Amino acid sequence: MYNENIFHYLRTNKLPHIWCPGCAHGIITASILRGIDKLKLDKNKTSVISGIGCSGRTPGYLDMNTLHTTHGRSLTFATGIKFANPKLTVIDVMGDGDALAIGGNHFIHACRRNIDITAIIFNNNIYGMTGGQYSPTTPVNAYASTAPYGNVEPPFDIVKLATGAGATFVARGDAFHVALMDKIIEQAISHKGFSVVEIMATCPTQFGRRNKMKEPYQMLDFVANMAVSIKKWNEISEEEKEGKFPVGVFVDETRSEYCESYEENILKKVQRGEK
Amino acid sequence: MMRAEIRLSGNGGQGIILAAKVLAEAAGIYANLNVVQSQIYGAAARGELSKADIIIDDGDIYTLEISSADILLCLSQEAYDAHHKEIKPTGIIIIDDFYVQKFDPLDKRILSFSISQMSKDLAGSEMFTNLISVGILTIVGGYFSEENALKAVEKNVPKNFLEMNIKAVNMGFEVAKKKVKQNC
Amino acid sequence: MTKIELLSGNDAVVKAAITAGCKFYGGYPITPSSEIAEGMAKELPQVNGKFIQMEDEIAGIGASIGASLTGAKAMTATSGPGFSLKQEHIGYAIMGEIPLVIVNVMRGGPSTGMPTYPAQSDVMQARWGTHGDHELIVLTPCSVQEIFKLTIEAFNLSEKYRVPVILLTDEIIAHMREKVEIEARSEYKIIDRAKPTVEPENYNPFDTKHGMVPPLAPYGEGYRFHITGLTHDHTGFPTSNPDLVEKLQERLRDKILDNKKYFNWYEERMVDDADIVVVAYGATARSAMRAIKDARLNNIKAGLYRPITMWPFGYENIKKIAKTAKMILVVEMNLGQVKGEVERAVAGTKCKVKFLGKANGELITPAEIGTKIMEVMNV
Repeated sequence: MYNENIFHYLRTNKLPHIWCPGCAHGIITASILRGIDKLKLDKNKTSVISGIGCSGRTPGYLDMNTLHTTHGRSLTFATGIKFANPKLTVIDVMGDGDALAIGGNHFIHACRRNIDITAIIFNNNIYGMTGGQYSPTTPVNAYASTAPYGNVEPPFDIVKLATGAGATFVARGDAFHVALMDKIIEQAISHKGFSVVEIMATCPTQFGRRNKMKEPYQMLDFVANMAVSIKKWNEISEEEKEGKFPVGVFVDETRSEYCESYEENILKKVQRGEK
Repeated sequence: MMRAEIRLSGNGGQGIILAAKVLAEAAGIYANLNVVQSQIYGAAARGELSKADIIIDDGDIYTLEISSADILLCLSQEAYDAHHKEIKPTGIIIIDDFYVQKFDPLDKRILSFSISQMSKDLAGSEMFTNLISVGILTIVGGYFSEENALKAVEKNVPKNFLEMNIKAVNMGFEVAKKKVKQNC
Repeated sequence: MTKIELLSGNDAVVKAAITAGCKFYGGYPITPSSEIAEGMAKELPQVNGKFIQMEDEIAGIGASIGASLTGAKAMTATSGPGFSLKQEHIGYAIMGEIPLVIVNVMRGGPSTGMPTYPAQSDVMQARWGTHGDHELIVLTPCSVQEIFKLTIEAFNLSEKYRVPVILLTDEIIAHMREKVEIEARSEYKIIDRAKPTVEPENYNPFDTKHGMVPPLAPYGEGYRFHITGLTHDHTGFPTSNPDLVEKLQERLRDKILDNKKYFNWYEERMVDDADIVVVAYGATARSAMRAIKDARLNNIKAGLYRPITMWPFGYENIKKIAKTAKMILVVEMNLGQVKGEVERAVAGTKCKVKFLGKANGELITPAEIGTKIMEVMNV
C-alpha cells in the first residue's frame, strides 16, 4: 500500500499530525491521497473541505485548496465552491457527528441535489475531539461520556440514509481492509455526481477506552470483524448479521449532475434567448 | 405643492397590484412626479382582502403611508366596509356597482361605476376590471394624462393582451368622463 | 444614459447587485426578503452567474462563502429569524476574511414575530449577533434609490476590506416602489478584491506585509492555501499563541476602524442651529424628515441626523451635534437599540437624550414624531 507519491500532496511541514496513536484518520487520509494520485489530480484544481472535529483537521495536511469550515456545515461551503467553479474536484471529509447530527440536513440535500462532490465520512462512532460523547452512529448499549449507562439511541445506517436521499454513488469500507478502501475511494472521486463513502474508523482514545477496546489493535479488530463483503452478506443469516456491516459499493448510477444540469437547463437556455 | 393619496382595494385576484403599479408608473415615470407605491402582503394575496396604495407628489415624499385617501377604489363589499372611512372629507370613493351594494346613499363622495360588468361586456370575464379602473382613476384623479396611463399599460401588460387592455383603459376613460360631466 | 425605473427596495437590491458584479447567490426563502432571491434566480443566469436555493438559511450563507472563495462576488438575503440562523457563518466570514454581502430585511420579532410588518429591531443583532469580538460594516438605506446605491457600496466595501457587509433594510422600504435613477454600469465605481502579486509559493492569505487587508487568491488558480475558522497566523494555519492571536484580533478590528473615515456616511438636515436633533434611519428617517420641517413651521429649531453607515457607529458625529443641540430624540421601530449608542456618544455633555420607539408593526408617523418633539421641548 505504501506509496511514495502521496508526499507530493502533503504539506509535510504540517506533520506530524495531531491524531492519537491508533486513530484511523491517518489511514483514511493516506487512502484518499492514493486515490488522488492514481487519478493524477492537479492539486491546484482540487479542493478539500472539512467540518469540525478530528476529521476536520485533514485538509490542513493536504497541499491543495483547503478549507476548515464550521461544525456540520462543510457541505454547504463545498456546494458553493463546486457550483461557482465546477472545474475544481471537491472532496468533503466529515466525521459522523459532523455529517449526520448537526449536518444531517445538509447531507441529505447534497445527496438529493447530486452535485459532483465526494463526501467521505470518517465514522468512528463517537465525538472524539470533544471528549467521547455519543454520536448518531454510536451502537446501542455502547458507552460514551454522555451515555454513562449505555447508549439507548439506535444509530443511523449511513449507506441506507445516503441511498434513500438519492446519492448516486454509495459505498462503505473500513480502516482495516485497506485495498477495498483504496478502490472505493478512487471510484468515488472519479464518479460524476454526489458520492458518499463511509469508512468505519477507530477511536481507541474515546470509544475504545470506554468499550473494552483501549488498545489500537482491538479497535482495528473490531471494525475488521464488523465488515462483511456484500456478496457474503447476502448469503448469511439474520443472526449472523447482528453487529456486522456489509462493505463494498452499494450504489453506482448515473443521474444528471447538479452543475451540469444548471449549465444545460438554465445558462444555455438563457444564452439561446429562451425563457 | 401637490400630494395625492390613492388607495385601491378589492379582493385577491382582482388585479389590484397591477393596477397600482400601472398608475404609479404613469405618475412617476411618464408624468415625472414623485411616487411611493406599496401594498399589503400575506394572506391578502391569496384571495382575501387586497389593498394597494399610491402616493403622488411633486415634491419629496416623506410620509410613506396613507392615513386618509383622496381617492379610494372599492371593488368588493368587504373592501368598502374595511376602507370607506379612510378617506378625506373632500375625497372620492369609486365603487363597483355589482360588488358594492351596501353603502351610505347619502355619501356624496361616492361615484358608482359598472366596472365588472363593463369587463364582462368587453371580454366575457372580469379580468379587465383592474385596467378599466386604471382608466377611471386617471380621469377622476387628473394627476397625469391619458397618454401617460396608456404608456404605463403598454409597459406592464403582456404583448398578446395589450390590445384588449388598451381597450379596457379607454373604456374607463370614457365612462369616467361622462360621469364627471354629469356631476359638474 | 440615466434610466428611470419604478422599483421596490428588494428589486433595487437585485439590480444593484448585478451592477456591482455579483455572480453568486445562495439563500433560502423568507418573508419579506424573498423577492431578492426570486430576482437573483432570474437575473444571475443572464450574466452567467449562479443561483442556488439551499436547504436552509445556514446553508445559503455557507454556499455563498464557498463561492466567494473561488473569486465570485457573492451574496445572500434574509430576514429576522433567518438572520439569526446565519450568524455563525457571518462570524466565519469575518474570521476567514471572506468578502460577502448579506441583506437583512427587518421584520417584527422576536421569533416568527410579524413576518409581513416592518421593524428595525435587528440593529444590535447585525452588530453583535455572531459570537466573539469583531468589527463589520452595516449600512441602513432610507429610500429605494439609496438601497440601489448602498448595495453597490456593500459589495465594494466587502471586496475592499475582506469583510462581510450587511445591508439592513426594513419591510417598508423593501416592499414599496419608488423611482430609481440607474446609470450605465460604467458610471459606477466598482471595486474588485485585490489579487496577490507574489508567486504562489510565497503567498500567505493573511500576510500583512503590504497592508492591513491582504490580497485574497481565488481557489483553483495555483495559490494553494488554507482557511480555518480557528484563530490563525499569517499563513492561515491554526495558532493559539497569545501574541499571534492578539495581533489577529486587533487587525480584524483595526482594518475596519482605521478605515472608517472612508465610509463614515451620514446625512444631516438643519442641524447647525437646531435645539433638538432627531436621530432616525431607514423608513423612520423619512417620517422624521417631515416632522422636523413641520416643527420648524412651529418655530421649533429641529434637525435630523441620519446614520447611513450604522456600524461602525458614528459616535464622533453625534458627539459633535451634542455640543450645540440641547436635546437628541432617537426615533426607531424598536424598543431602544440605537438609543443606547447615542447615550454613549453624548456622555459627558449637557445634551439630553429622549426616545420614541415602537415595535408593533406600525411605521412611526411624522405626526407622532412631531407630538414627541413638542412634548420633550415643553412647547
